[in-house]
Amino acid sequence: MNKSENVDPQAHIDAFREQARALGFNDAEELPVELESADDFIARMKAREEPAPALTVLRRSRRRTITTALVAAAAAAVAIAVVFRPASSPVVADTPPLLDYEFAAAVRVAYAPGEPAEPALSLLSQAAEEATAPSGTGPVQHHVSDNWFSDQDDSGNSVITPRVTQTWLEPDGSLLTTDTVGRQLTSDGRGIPTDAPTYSTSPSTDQLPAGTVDAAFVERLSTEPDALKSQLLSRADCPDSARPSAQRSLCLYDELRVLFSTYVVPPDVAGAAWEALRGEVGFTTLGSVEDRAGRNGVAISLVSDVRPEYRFILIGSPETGQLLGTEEILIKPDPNLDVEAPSVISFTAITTATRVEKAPTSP
Amino acid sequence: MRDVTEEEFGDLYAALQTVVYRYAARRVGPERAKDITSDTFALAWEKRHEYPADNSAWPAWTVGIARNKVLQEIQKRERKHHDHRFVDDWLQPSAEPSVEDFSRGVLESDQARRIFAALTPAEQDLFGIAFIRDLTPSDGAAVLGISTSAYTTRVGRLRQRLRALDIGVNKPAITQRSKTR
Repeated sequence: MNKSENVDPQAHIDAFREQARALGFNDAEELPVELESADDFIARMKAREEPAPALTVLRRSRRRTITTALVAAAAAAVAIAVVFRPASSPVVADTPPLLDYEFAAAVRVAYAPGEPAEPALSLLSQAAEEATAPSGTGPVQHHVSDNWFSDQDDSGNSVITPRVTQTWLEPDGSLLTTDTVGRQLTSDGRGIPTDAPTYSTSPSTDQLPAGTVDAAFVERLSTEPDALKSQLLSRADCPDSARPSAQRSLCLYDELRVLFSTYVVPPDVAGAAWEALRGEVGFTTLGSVEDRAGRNGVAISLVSDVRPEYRFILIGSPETGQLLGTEEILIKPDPNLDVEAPSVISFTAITTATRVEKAPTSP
Repeated sequence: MRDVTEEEFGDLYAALQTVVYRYAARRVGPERAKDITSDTFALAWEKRHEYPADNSAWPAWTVGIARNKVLQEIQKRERKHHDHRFVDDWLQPSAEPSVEDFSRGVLESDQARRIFAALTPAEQDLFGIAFIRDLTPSDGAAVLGISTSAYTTRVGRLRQRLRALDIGVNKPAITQRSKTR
C-alpha cells in the first residue's frame, strides 16, 4: 500500500506546500507586479458589454451561407466571375492575395505539407467547449459573411471587391437573403469589417419560402463526435463514407462549412465538429493565421485526392472554437481555369452568427 | 448552477487574482501570465450565470478555467515554436543575475525555477494545482479530473521527485530543460 494512503489528504498536501516553500517556491499574496483591481476589472467587463452589439458579434462570429445549393450556386457564380475569362477579354483575371500561415508562407502554400491536425483540432474543440452560449436570443438565425467577386475599375483593371451576404433563417425554414457590395480588400488581402451592416433591400434581396432550409437541423445534432460525423455524412449523402477516405474528408469539409454558415452552432456541437475531423484522411494544420477580418485563427487544411488541384482550408477561432471562414486555393494548374497556381479561388469570412428575434422588414 | 452577483464576483476576483497569476506565471512566464489572468476572469465573468451552485466550488472552478487557458497557451507555443527556437527564457536559468532576473526572483527563487524546469510537463501541471493554497485536496483532484486518493498519491510522488531534484539541483547535470507543457 502506498504510504500516502495512510495520511490525511490535507496534511499530505500541506506537507508538499511546506516543502515547496522551503525550496523557494512562492505563494505569498504580494506580487512584484500590479494587477487590475476587482472594481476596475468589473467596470471594464461591463463597458465591454454595453456598446457591444458589434463586439459581441465579433467574438461570437460564425457564419451562415444559405442552403447548400444556394451557397454552391453563389460560390460557383463568384468563382466563375473571377477566374473564367473569355479569350478576347482585355481584363486580366485577378484573385485575392494569399494569406500567410504559420506552417505555410503564401509562396509555399501549394506544397507545404502542414503539421498533424490533431493538436489544432483539440485546441479548437477545447475553445468551443469553453465558450459561453451563442450571442443573441430569438428564433431567427442571422448570419453575415463576406465573399468576393472581380470588379473592373475605370482603367480596365480588375479588382477584388467583397460581397456582403446577410441571411435570416426563420424557424419555418424560410430564408431572407440580401447581398451588398462591401469594402475593397487591402493589399494584404484583409480589411473585411467585422461590424454588422445595416439592412436595406437591394436587387439581390430574395425571400425564399418556408421549408427551404431545415432550420431545426442543428438542434438535433449530437455532441458526440462520431455520432455527429454520421449525421453530417448522412445529410451529405456522401458516397464511400463507411470508412475514412479522400471522398469522405471532402464531404466532411463541405458539411462543416455549410453547418457553420447556415446555423448558429452551439459550442458543444462546434467542439464535436472539430473532433469529428480527427483521424480523417488528408487533414493537416497550417497553424495560426490572421484571417481576412484581422482575427486570430487556426487553419485546418485538406488536400483530397478527389480534387487534388485544390487546398481547402477551414479557419477556426482559438477563442470561441467557431468557424471564422474558409479559403479554397488552386495549388495545381487546372486547364478549366485561367488562373495560375497558387491562387485563392474563393473565400468566405463569417463575421456575424447570432440569434435575433425577427428578420427585418423592408424599409 | 446559479448566478453570481457582482459583489461575489469581486470577492472571488480579489481572492484568486494573485493565485491565478502565480500559477500562470510559473508555466508560461510573467508577461503572458497577466493576459491569462485577465482572460480567465473575463471568461468567469461571461459565465457568471453558470456558476456552481455551491460557492465552495468556485475556486476550483476558476482555477480550472485558468488551467485550460495555460494549456492552450502552451499548445499554441508548441505549434508556433515547434523547433524550440524561441522557448521562453523564463525557464532558462541564467548564469548572471539581471534586473529582470531579480524581478523574477521575487516570484520564485532561482533554485525553485531550476527545479520546476526539471519537472516533466505532467509534474509541472500537478505542482501548479497542488501548490494553490485555496484548493482542498478534493478541489485539486477535481481540477485535474482524478480521484482524491490518486491526487494525494501523485503529490506524494512529486514530493519524492522534489527531494531528488533538490539534491541534484546544484550539480551541473541539471541543465536539462523539459518541454513546456
